[in-house]
Amino acid sequence: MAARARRSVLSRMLRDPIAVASFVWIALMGVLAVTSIWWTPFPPNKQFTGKPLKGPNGNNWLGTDDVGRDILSRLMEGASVSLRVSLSVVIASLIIALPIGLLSGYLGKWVDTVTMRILDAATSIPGLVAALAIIGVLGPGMVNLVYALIIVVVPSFVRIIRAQALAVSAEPFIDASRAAGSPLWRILFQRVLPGVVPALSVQVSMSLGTVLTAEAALSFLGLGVVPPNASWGSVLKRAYSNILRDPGGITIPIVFIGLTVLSFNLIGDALRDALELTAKRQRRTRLGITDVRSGLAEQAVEHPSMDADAALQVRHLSLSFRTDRGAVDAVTNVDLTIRRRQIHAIVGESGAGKSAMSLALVRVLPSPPADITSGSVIFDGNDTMSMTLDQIREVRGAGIAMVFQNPMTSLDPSFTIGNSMDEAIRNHSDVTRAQANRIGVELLQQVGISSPERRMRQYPHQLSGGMRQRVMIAMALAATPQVLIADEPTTALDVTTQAQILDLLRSLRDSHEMSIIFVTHDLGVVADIADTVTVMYAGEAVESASVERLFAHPRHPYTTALLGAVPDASVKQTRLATIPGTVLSPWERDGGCRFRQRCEFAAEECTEPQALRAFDEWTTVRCVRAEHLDDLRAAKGTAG
Amino acid sequence: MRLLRILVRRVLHAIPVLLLVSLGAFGLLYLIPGDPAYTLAGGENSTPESIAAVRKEFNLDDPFFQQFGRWLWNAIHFDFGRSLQNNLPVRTQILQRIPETLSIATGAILIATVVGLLLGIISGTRAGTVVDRLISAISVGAIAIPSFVLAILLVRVFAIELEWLPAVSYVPLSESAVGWLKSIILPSIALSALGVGGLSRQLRSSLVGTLRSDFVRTTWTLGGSRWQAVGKHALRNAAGPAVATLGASLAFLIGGTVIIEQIFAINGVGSLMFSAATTADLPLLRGLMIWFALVQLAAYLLTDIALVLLNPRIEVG
Repeated sequence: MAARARRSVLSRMLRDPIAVASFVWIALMGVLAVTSIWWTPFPPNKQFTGKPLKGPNGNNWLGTDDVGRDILSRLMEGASVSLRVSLSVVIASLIIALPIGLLSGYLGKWVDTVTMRILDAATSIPGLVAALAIIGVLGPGMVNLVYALIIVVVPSFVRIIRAQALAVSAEPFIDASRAAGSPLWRILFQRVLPGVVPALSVQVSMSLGTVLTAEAALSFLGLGVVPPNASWGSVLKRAYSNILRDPGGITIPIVFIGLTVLSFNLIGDALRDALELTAKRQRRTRLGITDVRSGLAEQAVEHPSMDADAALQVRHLSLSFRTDRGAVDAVTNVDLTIRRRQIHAIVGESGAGKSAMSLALVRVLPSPPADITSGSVIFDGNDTMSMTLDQIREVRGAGIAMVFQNPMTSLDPSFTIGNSMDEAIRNHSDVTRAQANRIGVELLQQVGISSPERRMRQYPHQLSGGMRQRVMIAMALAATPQVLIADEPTTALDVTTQAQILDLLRSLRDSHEMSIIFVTHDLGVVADIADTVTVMYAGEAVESASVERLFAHPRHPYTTALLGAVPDASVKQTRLATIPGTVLSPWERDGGCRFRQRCEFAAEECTEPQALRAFDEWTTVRCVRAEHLDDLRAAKGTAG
Repeated sequence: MRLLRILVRRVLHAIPVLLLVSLGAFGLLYLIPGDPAYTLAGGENSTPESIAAVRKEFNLDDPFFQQFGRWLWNAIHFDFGRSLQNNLPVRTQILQRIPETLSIATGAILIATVVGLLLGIISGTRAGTVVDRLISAISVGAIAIPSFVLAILLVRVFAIELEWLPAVSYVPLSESAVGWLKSIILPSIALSALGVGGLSRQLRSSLVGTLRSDFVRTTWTLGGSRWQAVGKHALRNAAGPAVATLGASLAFLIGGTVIIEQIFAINGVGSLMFSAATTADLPLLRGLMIWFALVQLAAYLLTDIALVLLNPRIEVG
């Protein structure tokens, strides 16, 4: 298991050209360093008489320094010294830090407290300063440099090992090992350590770069590697002291130091990405408005004449998401008519495209990944799909407003309720701050919030979930919209609060003469609040009807199945009725009915494309067998 | 009130940390190879009399805790003894050096904040574009490049080849404002690189996150503008991690002064640290360790204050 994970991390890194280039550079430096032990073009300290500070030539490929020594030979020795110092420091630090960090994280309690205090103290002095102080009393030289750097690096390792060990120790399998009586060292090194390795490996790679930098810096100051030994830092020091005579001399040591440190950092970054310790690279995102790519539309949409009683008319709306496996249709050709002063429910299982569809109406999904691929949304005589950001901003809030499922995250935690209310009000009207404040207080009162003046000064985290949802509703009402989209507004709330919010929405519909689009997966709520309802399945609207009609005479097999799945409190059920099978993934769809694999009544003609059609004057349905549904169900009933 | 409570906690927390740092600074004595009195008295140049004098001055014959206690008592009163090199009080020397270090450190923090903020906002709001990739590459480079390497490159380009700015010779602000500014530009840039890269990178990734958050979506659905969504809500909520990153980079910035001041011949606290290390000036090294710890703890404290002010939810922590 671990071996496969490791291989996939490695292969992911090898697909990253930057990581590969970094590996190659480090490997090259490693080869230079190892070679220099047996061979350099010239002895690093041999002085060529009469030709100091010579540029690159056939004899000295990288030229000579101010006392006539071959720079390539010195840099090769430097590579060996610099890399040796870095590796020794990092390996020794690991050996010291591992037991301390593992014990501290695993044992916790006072061991951890003491360790953390010491760590705090150790890291409260800048690393370079601490190293200098230690070298100051020990004296310069390569060995003392290694000691000093170990003391500086150990705390950073202990900290990360301890943090990971702490997290791993909370896992149940550690408890199991403990209960089984495994000795401490075995638990630490066989159980806890593997969980520490990923984060630690990133830190190790980064530390190699940091230590190399510190070594170069201290040697540059003349306090690290001292003559006759050469390191990259001391070669750079030499070149820098002659910078006025030979400004180009610093280039080569800088390239060596810079690229090597950069490579260690880049490998660390690539490792972190490959281990997915950070979020993946983001694709370009447009701010604030979903792209309409009507070139993808199947058919040109005729501008429908607006139904006089309709507040909102949706025709053939399709939405897709770009994914790594290509575009996925989340919403396909949805038609909706929302009448004035009515509550229209959109119902379906999670993943049916209800939320995506409602967000698409005012185009607030980010592009990419979202694209609107066809359709029109006529509001107040205009199609929101052909608007610019500035035009649609006029509609958002003032024409169509939204309330979301999660009031915990939908309010900005950094601003007071008053500040957020002020924004919602003044987005659409030219009032002063003081006037907006008065309006805000009134709105909070309307949605049933007590002592609104005090609430205006509070932050979201000081309010309960139900209270926050009321605030969200108040903000949505701020610009007196004609349509309110409520996307599962009660899902995150407890049952009592749910009922209150439903009552509030109902009364607001009456007092504000609004239409409400109520998105939910709960048919009980639909029956309670809605006038009309659309059932969605796998991105399609499969049935629309008045609530009475839908519950009494469902015309789509999916609707009947869904109704069967409503837990009826009055009947003692042994188990919840569920619909067998799972929703077809977008890649498995063919042109036919998307429900037929789960449908009890599927037949040959269901493989044909299904159109949404008027069944009678009350119901539209997307099922070729709707006329026979009652017979089929009756037959099934007697057979079963 | 909330801020005060958190401040008191942090200051109380700093006391054991400083105590341990003091122990470390005091303990430098025990790292000196051989007989410390011999080394402190000047090694080969020492005489039996000078060794005896050092023994007396450092109370080397007293028991450990008595030595440490006496040193700590003095240290609490900011008395770190006298330098072995010039016999000046350590405190005076450090205080004299502050203005020059403060100049370049302030410059560096300003540059890191302004440039890092700009780059972070630009790349965060244009995630995935060529501009974003370019800025990300610059940030990675800025984080990776050692400050002294950048300093040397700056000297070569701007001081030696273009001759726009001086490579050495610090000009005090009291002497000439323009001269002062010119003399701190290159060292400030060299010191700021890590902060610029770190801040821009952190801000970018936080912004990408907050721009997709539910509350920014709320802003859009209420008809909010690009400025409200990005400048107000997304940026404000991305600021916390960015400030924390900037605070963490201060440690490197403070440490970097040691080598940067050396390159630009600035007589600041960093150069003092360097000369103390080259001359094994124990009292000076001890005093400087405490000084650097104090500065860094103060920087962390300021970071914490900023974080508390930015986030109304922080109560304790």
